[in-house]
Parts: sequence; C-alpha cells; structure tokens
Amino acid sequence: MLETAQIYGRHGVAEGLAGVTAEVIEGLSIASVAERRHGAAGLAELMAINYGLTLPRRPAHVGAGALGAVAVGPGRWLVLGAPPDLGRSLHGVASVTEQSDGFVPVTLSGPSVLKCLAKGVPLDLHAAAFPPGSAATTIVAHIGVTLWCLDATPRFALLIARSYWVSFMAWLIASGAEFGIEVVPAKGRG
Amino acid sequence: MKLPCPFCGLRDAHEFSYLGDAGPHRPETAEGFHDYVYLRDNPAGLLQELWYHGQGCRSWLVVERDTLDHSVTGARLARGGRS
Repeated sequence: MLETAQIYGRHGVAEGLAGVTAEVIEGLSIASVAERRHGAAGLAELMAINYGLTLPRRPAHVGAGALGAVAVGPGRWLVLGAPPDLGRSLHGVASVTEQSDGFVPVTLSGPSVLKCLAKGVPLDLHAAAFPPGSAATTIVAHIGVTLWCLDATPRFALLIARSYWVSFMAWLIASGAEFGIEVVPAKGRG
Repeated sequence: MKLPCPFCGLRDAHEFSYLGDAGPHRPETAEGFHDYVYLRDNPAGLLQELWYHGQGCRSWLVVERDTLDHSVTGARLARGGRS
C-alpha cells in the first residue's frame, strides 16, 4: 500500500526531463450543482448574470476567470472555484452541494502525458477527438474520474474522489514510471 | 460491446449496469403486480431495455438492442424532457 508521503517526488526513470508532471491541487472550492425540475432556464440565466458563466449542456469544461464548470451528467455540473454564496444565488433553480473535500484535483502535463493516460483512460484523448474544453466522466483502473483537457499542450485536469486518490496515484505512478513522472503540490492555488 | 450514451458518447459496456426490458410499467394496484415482477417476453430480435451509466453520467438509458447479434441501434435518456 502506497503511503501519501511516498506519492510526491520523482518516480521511475530518474534522469532527464520528466515525461509526465502531476500537480496536486489543495484548497480548491468545489460544489456540485444539479438543476431542479423546470429550473434549467433560470439556472442558465443566473449563472450567466451572476458569474458570467455559460453552463455547458454536454460533457465540457468552461471557465470564466477564477470560476469553472464541468458538466458531469444531464443537468449536473461540478463548479470549480465555487463562491460561498453559490447556493444562495441559485436558490430555487438548482441544488448546490459542498464538495471541496470530496475530490482531489490533479493536473497532468508533459511530453508523455497521452501515452501515460492511454494505459487506463478508455477514451481517445488525442486533440482531434478531445480538444481543449472537452470533458468526460469515466473509469480508470476501476476508479471513477472526471477529466477535461485544459489546453493544446496538452494539459489535463482530473478530479478523483478523495478516498480513492491514493489508489489512483498508485496507478498513475506505475503508469508514468517508464517516462519519468514527477508529482508535486501545485503552486499558487488555493 | 459499446453503448451510445446520449450524454457521454460511445462508451464500453463495462461502464454500465443492466436492468432488463424497459417495457413493463409498475401497475397502480396490486392487480397485475405478479406479471409486472415476473413475466418477461424474451424476444429474439429488437428489445428496448434499461441500462444505467453508473461509471459515466449516472443516467438511466433506454437502449435498443438486437438480442440475436447484440447490435445496438439507439439509446435515449430514460427520463424524458431532460437534456
């Protein structure tokens, strides 16, 4: 069993540039938003007016400043960087649930990131099929993951349920070892 | 086998769990309950059936599948009116 302390650092191939870099984000505020029946129009309007955010109605991630939203199902989103008044401001049109402690966000980048993810993600993540802004909720090594493409580098963001995070990182480190993988705490977030 | 989830797109069947025939509707009274619980048609050919995308968008789907060759010809959200 991997201990949390063993997750951070360089794993696998030790020399040269890391093929995969994983940044673990702590302190990001996350909320789940589920539209109420007949609340769709009101929810879209309130999100646009109050936060300048157009909620995607297909598997996608959109950002507006410090705020982001990823669609995880029909009428359901996870809002990243959720403001404390989100529940109040969407009262009556959506159910808002605090999820900040529920997920660990991880960003993945590096020249071998696609080869590494291909070992577990059952989806085509090539830019032609999964351009920036694309999102998916799927299963990786029997662990549920919501992921989206941040930019064309490519960089990916992943949300893993906190109780599964250590197991997920064990898979990630094993999969990234042949490329050299660096796991670091994210800087400048929180 | 892959299923065309209307929200997620084409996904492997292992992300889903199977319930069965989407046809039977829960009766309002005790009358007909035995048939609702136990009796199924088991057709050889096209069948509308319920699948749950538990490892994806967590939606119940109505999938049209040919029981003879497993070809899937469509899928829609079981809950109508929600997109």
